[in-house]
Amino acid sequence: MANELKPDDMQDVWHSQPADPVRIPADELRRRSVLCEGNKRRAFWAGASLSILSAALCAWFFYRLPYTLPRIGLVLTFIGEVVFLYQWRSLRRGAKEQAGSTAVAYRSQLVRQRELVLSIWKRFLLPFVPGPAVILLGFLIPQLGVVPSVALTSAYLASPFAVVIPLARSRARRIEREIAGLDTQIR
Amino acid sequence: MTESVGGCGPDELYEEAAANYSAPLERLARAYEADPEARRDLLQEIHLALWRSFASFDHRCSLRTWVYQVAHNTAASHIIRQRRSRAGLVSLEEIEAMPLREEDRFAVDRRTAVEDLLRLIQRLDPVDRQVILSYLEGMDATSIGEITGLKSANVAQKIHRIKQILARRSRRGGIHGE
Repeated sequence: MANELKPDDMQDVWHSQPADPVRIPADELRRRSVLCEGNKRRAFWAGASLSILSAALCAWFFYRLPYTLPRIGLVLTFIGEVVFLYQWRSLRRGAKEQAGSTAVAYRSQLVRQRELVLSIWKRFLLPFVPGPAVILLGFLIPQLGVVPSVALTSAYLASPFAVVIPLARSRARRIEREIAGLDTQIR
Repeated sequence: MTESVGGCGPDELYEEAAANYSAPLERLARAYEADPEARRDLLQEIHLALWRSFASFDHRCSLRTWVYQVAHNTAASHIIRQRRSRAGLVSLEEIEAMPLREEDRFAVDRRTAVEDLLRLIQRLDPVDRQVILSYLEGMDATSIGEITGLKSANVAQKIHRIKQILARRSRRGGIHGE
């Protein structure tokens, strides 16, 4: 057993890894930091440009469509899109812990992720329901009547929720178990 | 960047941290990311996070604790972003409970043993990974507790478990002997 590795030897083994240490000059880090901020600004302006483009598209359809309900639907769709972009932006702004106890920081990230998973349908799906619903009803009612149109529209728009909500709950339960495990270990 | 408390600016603190902890940070990145290209990006991300963090460094903990906390937190965020790979991560308890296969045993030569060890570490969930990495870097339970924020009893228990796992995998003929 002379060439056997003991647990304490593993620390030596760990330290024996070939190292090619990275040292980035402070000026380079400053440049990269500015670059990161620039990327965030670009992402904001990309979202804003998308909203403006979408508003223009909605306005064009608004004047082209002769019916009242689809017109209301267009306005609601645009509002939904603004809500979606706002939610997206507030999510990206979420606090990112750099220092602090690592288990606590990891727990905060898990909590944040659980909240996101549970609210995903509210934040990202629900804003797009009223607009398309009104547009669909506007086209379907004259052809099918009120009751079948409402039933069809509801079924169509409810289907993504029927998939997303159970999946999100199952994922949130897994995260919840991980958080509970951490709670018993953190000071 | 604002001047940090203690008379030393972020640039100077970063220089000091980079001079003393570049090699441990590289080992840390290796334990979090197997792909060399992604590992390089992660390491640069850690250095950037470290430099930024020194704007708020208040000397309430040692430079070493601060460096490891920032590095682990940045690397843990990296793991969280890769949700698909995170799904397969396990705890030390689970590793310990798993039956030992021939390919799980560490090679006797050091170079291959490092690769085996890295494969083991890369399967662990972030918190247990932080403990095993700190242990391998030679830290005691108090320092590990300070970095992770885990209770001392839990840290001691995890270190005991790590030693058992390492012993089991290092032992020659371990499979038949168990």
